[in-house]
Amino acid sequence: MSTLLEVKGLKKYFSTPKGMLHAVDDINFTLEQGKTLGIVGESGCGKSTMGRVILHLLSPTDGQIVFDGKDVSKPDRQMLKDLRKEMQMIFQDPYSSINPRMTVSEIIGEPMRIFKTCSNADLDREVVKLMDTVGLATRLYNTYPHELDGGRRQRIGIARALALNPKFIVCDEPVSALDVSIQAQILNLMQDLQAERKLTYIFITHDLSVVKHISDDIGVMYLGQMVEKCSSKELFQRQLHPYTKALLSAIPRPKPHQKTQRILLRGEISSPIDPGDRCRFCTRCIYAQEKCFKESPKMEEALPGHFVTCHYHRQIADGTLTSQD
Amino acid sequence: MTVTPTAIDTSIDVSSIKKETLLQQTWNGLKKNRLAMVGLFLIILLLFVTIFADFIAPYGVDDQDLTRAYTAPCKEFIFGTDDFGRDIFSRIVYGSRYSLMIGAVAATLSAVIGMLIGSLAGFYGGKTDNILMRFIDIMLAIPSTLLGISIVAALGNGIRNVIIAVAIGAVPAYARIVRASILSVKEQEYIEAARSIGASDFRIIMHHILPNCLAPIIVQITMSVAKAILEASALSFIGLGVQPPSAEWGAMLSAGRAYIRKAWWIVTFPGLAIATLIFGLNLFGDGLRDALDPKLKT
Amino acid sequence: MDENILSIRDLSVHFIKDKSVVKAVNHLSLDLKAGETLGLVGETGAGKTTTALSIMNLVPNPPGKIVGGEIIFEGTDVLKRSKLELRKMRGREVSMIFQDPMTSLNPVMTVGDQIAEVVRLHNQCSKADAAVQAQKMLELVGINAERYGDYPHQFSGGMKQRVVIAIALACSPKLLIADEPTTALDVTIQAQVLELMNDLKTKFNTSMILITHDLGVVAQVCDKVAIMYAGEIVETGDLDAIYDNAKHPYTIGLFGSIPDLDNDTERLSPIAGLMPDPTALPDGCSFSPRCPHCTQYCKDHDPALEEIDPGHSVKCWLYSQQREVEE
Repeated sequence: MSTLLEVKGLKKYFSTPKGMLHAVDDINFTLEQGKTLGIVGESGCGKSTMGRVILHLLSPTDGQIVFDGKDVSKPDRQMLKDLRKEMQMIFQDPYSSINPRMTVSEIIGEPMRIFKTCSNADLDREVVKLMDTVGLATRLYNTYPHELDGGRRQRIGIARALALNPKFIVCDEPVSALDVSIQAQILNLMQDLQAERKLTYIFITHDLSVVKHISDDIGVMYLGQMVEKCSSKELFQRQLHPYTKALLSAIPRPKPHQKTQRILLRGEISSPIDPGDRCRFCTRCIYAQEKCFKESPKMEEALPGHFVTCHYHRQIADGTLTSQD
Repeated sequence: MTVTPTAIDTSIDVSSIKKETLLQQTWNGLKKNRLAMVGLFLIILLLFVTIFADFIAPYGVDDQDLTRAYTAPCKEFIFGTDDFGRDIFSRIVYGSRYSLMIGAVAATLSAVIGMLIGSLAGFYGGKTDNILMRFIDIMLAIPSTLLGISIVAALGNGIRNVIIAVAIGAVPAYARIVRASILSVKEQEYIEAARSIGASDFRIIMHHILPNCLAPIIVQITMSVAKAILEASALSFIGLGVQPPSAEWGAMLSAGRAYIRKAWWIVTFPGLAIATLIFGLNLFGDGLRDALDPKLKT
Repeated sequence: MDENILSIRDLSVHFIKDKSVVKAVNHLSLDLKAGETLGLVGETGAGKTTTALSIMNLVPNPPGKIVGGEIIFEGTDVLKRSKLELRKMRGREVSMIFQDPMTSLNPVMTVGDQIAEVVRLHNQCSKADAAVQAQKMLELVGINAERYGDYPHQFSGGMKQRVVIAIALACSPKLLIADEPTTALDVTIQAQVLELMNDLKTKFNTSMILITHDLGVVAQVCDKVAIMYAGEIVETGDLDAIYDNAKHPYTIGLFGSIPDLDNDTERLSPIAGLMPDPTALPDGCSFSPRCPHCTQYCKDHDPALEEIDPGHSVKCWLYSQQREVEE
């Protein structure tokens, strides 16, 4: 399996009147072709911003992005245009991510029209093929999106993302806005498409059960940093970062007898503006020590393939450091 | 294996699947709204009267008959005659031409200028936005009627200057509406999506932003036609712009003021004409706005 | 009726839109005992919120209309109460928490005043006393009483929802209706809020109807569950009955759609198709177009909700005794 995407030290800062907002701070990971990297985190962790920076919908403040062996951190116009054919995005909100004034076929066909990948005569046929691939009935060809439900709209978004035959798709919470039974349909579809077309996904979500189902590897983000990264299986068996532990324990399981002992986090999330040199999680961490408030931890490989960003992960894991509560 | 195994029905000729164009959608939406249809009827009536004025008006616009001055409405003179014995009905019919021209031309002029300013401000933002909108703010600080008066006073009377005065007064409204539209559409995810599939700035503006701003602009045009007509009449009323003996409705109102007790019909009918036309335009404009908003359709 | 604090019998609510009639709730019946928590589960369009609004007789009219049934709360039919009686009931006997904390609070009133408002509306007390009670409620929901004078925009989503809970519980209502109270919140905040709701529920012995689509939340908080589909309750029972022994194909389908955190699933088993158009519900069983066990009989005849085990009722021909009788 070859590495399709490599991200090194990726940063995205926004300048605000109150100070510098560290939306994405020093992210590192590699992604192999045909695999899915799940990115989880709660609101404000920077996962959506990171997805957009990788796709160059936002320009990175610093860092390196290597796609298919080429450094695409600062692409020129032509490179950017070529990249668009290889990297696509599926958006979260099926209601605002498609133009209400365009028909289903116009939306799906637009990428092909822009890049002139096929003749006008063939365009119809290609669009119908794509509609079929994502499970949209042909009779919806000239329908407007407002006449369709969330699930169908999301299928339009997926068809549009597939139109240029990309290698890599960033999926930004693609099923969060959908009902549970529709979610399942769309997730199955995305898995099938990945198998058929050897797609590589970055799957951004806040829903841990969804991410477990669909990802090979998972990265957990908090306030712009990746606090833990390992295989999907490993994450649910053994969490090394206190935040990940709390996150997993917070999920209500549909199992009435399993009243899990929940680790309740203290207080609220701290500000991403000028966070300073300290662990982002220290204000809420039940294991926090003095060092955590003074020095920002770096991501290290605690176990083979299992990365964590915490000063005391070893001590927490072997029990020498216990909760302060 | 894909989820729904629908075989690609290549026998369906997709070009035969009818697409409802914006025009059709709008018309369908309008048809349902009775008040809007009333408004449309009144507007069409005005157009009809304007075009076929020569056939509808029983008398010439300036045909005087001093012996028949101040005649009350009767079979011979449906709306009566004025102080010069001119048939008021005929004058109203011919006067509709002024209203139409002022309304249409002024609205178009202000729309074009306003849209240009608003588009630049909205799309580029930053300093451009700041400078342009402060300029608009200055214009807005002056009441439009006062602005109109100043311009006509400076340029002189006559229909051309009235149109200019009224048009300038309406520019800020367009600029703001277009800018607001663009700002809100710009933030929509589908604009981002368009960028992600490789669309150029130009394509994004033409295919994605502007078509979604059309609704408020079209409605504003309808409303500003009404406003233009009203303002022109107001200007004539106070003695600026189109003056008697022109049969502009506002001028007729002004001239007839003095006779309100003696011959109420000289003032009343031009007034009613103005009111009816404005009423029709407003009704139609409201209906158009409701019909053009896709979010209302579900 | 005996220990039932709430009894809904045969409720039907329609919405008139243009010329079509949306059948939002169809012949719905359910019971709730004092101190019990019922989870009302269903997807978008199932009719859960409409049912909740009906309990307080708050269905917007027009376009909504309660076309039949009765809602017995504490002995009398809510639908027959006068406007004055209803106003007295709302906020005092029955309270509601809405889904979006961002828009449920008045942005120009301090949070303390908003809690005090509901206290004063239902109690003859002075402004000062109401303020004291409001401060007590703030502390109860885990917010420092000093924040009485702060405005909603100064709070985060989770804290706003706590304020909403404080308002809802300020007059110790007998029944609390919570409409997706934690859907808009992050998972860690959701855990905090659910914990809070559980504590308060026990403290005040409030009955609760928790509306949600999240089966995980229901498992943590509820005693009973009712599954809604197309305006009807298709299955209802105790927590164990539903989670260990679900019978209705839709319920089974719902469980099959959720990825399991503890076990690996290769593929999810979603329910094919979509919820029916509420203006054109199918004849017979409303789930028939999507049901893997559908028969011709199901398409022609609409089953009734029947008790198959003590405390466990299902609306399905697969389990109905009645059908055998008719055939």
